[in-house]
Amino acid sequence: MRIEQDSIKPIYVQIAEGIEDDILKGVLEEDEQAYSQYQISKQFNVNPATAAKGINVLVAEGILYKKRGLGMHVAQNARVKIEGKRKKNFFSGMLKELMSEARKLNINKEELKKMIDDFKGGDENE
Amino acid sequence: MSDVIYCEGLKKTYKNVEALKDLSLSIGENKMIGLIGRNGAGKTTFLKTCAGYIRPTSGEISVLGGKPFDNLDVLSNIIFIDEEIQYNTSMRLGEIFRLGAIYYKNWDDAFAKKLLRYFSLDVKQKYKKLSRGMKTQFNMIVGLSSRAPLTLMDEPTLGLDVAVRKEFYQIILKDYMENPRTFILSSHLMSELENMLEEMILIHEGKVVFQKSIEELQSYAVLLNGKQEVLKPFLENKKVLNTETFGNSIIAGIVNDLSEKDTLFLENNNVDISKVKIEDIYIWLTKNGKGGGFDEFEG
Repeated sequence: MRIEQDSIKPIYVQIAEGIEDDILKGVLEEDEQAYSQYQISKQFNVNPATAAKGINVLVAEGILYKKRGLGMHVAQNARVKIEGKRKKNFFSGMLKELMSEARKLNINKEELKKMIDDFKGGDENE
Repeated sequence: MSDVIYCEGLKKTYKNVEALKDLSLSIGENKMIGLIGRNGAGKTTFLKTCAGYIRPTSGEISVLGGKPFDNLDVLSNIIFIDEEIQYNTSMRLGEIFRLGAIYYKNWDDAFAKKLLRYFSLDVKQKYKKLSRGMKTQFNMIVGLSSRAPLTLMDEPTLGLDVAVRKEFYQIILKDYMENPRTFILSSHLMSELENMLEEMILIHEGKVVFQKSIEELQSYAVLLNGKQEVLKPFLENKKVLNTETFGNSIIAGIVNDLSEKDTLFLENNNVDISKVKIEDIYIWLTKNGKGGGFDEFEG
């Protein structure tokens, strides 16, 4: 998890997405403890209210929940929820970015499709 | 208690200089606040008025429920730290700590000594023998150890190198979480610490220009970068904060009220949309005259 100062995304959104990323990557496991407001605030030097806001977004979405006396935990079906949400965002966000860059480079839709078909990097990251 | 600081129409005039003119604001309890403004904007005068060092010329000010000037009840709950603090020339650091313990109700001596050791200072050292950076560090230690419900720090990191500044930001934040209280920090290095804050206040020419949450400020404006022929007509209906031309392109900072349709239009026309730093908003809002910068100055 990290915070990009130059990102147009608000810090609390970056915190929420950072936690989601760590859940997707398996750094945080379902039903186990997640980061506390205090930990996030200290690690990234952000105001505790900002950290709380990021956490609360995920609580509202049922991705995190508060275990009595034990702090924030990852919900059991958190991964599935995040994947579902991200897929929706993928179409509206990432695809738009891709198309916009393609337009700049004069790559038309057909060419782009071919590039995707020919794309070999089955690697998770790229 | 609702507001820690409440000001209405606050004025302070020195001879014929108006340092504060009609300053009004309120600050809630246990918030971490940043205070920005250009040199001579009135930041220090404002902080000193809150700290009871200065009697306002007119207007209303209430701090922790009372008028701060010459009011010991209020003052034992406020600490003001700046680089001009003077102690008796023979004072040793340990003696200053003892004074702190007498003066401030919530003084934490164990914490003070722990911080002193952390920064490799010693109770036996004389304050006046410290280097500038060490004085700054020591003043910060006093400011934090007072645990004053209202802690005012004017340029608290002046003369500190970046590594020590970062350590201090972490210490302040940790201590704030463990012992919530109201902090007002003024700094010319605000971008370093803006994420620590909850709100920022901009003072310009003795008045409050804005008081907004950091989150609001971080998305208050956007930077558009694209071809003049596309952007010029688009900007006509926008609140433009700053424009620069660069070859055939315009780089414009505008208030972020972009609709989905706007964003789509900009993307389709190869206009880049990027983040505006709070620092830049602040510069744009306080620029003098034409704002052409050095180029115009030279011309």
